[in-house]
Amino acid sequence: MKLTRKEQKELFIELGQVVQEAGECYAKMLRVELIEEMYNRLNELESKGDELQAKLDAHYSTQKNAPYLTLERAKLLRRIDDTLDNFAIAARTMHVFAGAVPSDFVERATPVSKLLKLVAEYVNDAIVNLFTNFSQALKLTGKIEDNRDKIVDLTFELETDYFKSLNGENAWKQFTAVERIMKRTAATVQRMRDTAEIIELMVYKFSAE
Amino acid sequence: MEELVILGSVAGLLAIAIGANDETWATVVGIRRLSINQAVVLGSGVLLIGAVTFGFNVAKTVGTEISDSPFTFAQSLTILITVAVLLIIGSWKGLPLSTTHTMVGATVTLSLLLGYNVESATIVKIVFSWITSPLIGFFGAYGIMKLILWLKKKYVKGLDDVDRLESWFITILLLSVTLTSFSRGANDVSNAAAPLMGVFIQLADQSGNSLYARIPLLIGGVGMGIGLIIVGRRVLKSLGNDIVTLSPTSAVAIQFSTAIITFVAASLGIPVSGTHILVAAFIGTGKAYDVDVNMKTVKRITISAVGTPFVAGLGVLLTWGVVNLFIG
Repeated sequence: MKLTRKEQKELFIELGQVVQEAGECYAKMLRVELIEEMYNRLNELESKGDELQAKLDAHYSTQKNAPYLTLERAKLLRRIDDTLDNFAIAARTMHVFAGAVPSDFVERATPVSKLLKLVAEYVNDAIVNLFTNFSQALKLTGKIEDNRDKIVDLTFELETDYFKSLNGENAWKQFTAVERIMKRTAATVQRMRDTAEIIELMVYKFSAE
Repeated sequence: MEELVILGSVAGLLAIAIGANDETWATVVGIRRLSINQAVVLGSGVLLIGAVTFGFNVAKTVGTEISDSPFTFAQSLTILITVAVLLIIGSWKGLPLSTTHTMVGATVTLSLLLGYNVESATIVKIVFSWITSPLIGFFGAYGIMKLILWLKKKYVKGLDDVDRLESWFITILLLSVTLTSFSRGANDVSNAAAPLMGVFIQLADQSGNSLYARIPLLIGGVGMGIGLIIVGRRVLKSLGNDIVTLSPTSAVAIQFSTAIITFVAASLGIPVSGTHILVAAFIGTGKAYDVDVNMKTVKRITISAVGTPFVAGLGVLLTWGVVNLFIG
């Protein structure tokens, strides 16, 4: 199925919006808010992402596309799909382990939640700016990297603190829940950083030539 | 008549070999603007048109203006066989031999051997163009690429601009490739048709029908077209797949300068090496990007370009000896 340049752009922008919404939903789950509702919504967003990806994939798989112009877009598409898949996996993890987290988890996880939501917003903005403003897209990818580092540090700090402080009968259960959730969160943020990296490479390639 | 048929057949086979090595349409295949089938059909048509129209000038220069005496059947056959054999050896060894250099080298050497008067002014004009055309190709491609890079820096802000620019350049590329193919048809047909030109120009003068003079060009043009359709498609397929990282804008810089130079040379009836101009244009484009050029390859191509006419001369001496043994 052949898509025009405009149709391809619209699909990518729609995918960016899906990533942003996925970030908002998962951020709520991290604060243990509306777990069931956000879990269902994230699964819907993953399916929507798959549908949009399938349309673009069908276009890129035809022989009529100039490899020079489509290779990077195909890679970007895959990174966005990875991101949405990881959001869905993170949501399943949260769905299972949310009930076992320590009582102060929400307060301690809120900074991670806020930063994650911000990163998802930056990913969406970077995708939009990729089409119209390379320099702005690069600034956003820089912010994604900085916030990724902050999130990784925060998640590690949380795990370490809970490892040291949790005692009692259910300590191992609480710690396992925190560890699983934090690792999954960090992995999802890393996928968003991978998406940003492809955007950076596209900017370097197409603006340097 | 029998001799003309033999000469025509050998010239036709040589033309097929020339067409089989034509890489002109590789860039448009590589960026998927045309399929391989579309490229070879269009290419063969354009080659034929170039051969029978502008091809007359170049073929006449090589066939009748290098020496003042027309070649006999045995002499024409010698030149054709020499060029064909060297082309085959060159392809087999992976050497970028210029068919034009080979043809001119063989023609000049045989003329000198037979004691014919060689038109030194024509030779000087041809050799001068062999030096200047790759240089113009290099600087032309370099200049065009620098202009394109400047335009991109000034006007390309996002992917929307990249897409718009590339679609314009794909159209320019298609036009440049068509012009190059037309000019190469005009230029390369002389490598097969030149030894026949003297005889058919004479026929045209005697009969009063100027179309006779175009018959060698028709044989050459059809042969090149057949070569491109049947065998050349493999060259386009492998080169086109290898050109996956070549952007339409880079391809335009290379192809546009090559197109202009080969067209001007064909219009003036000067035989040039399309391959050397294309290689020089590739290097010029690379330099515009500040990319390091493999000087070993450049040296190899330069030595080959300079040495080819002399090797062709040696080859024609050997072939003449063999042909004389059989034909006498």
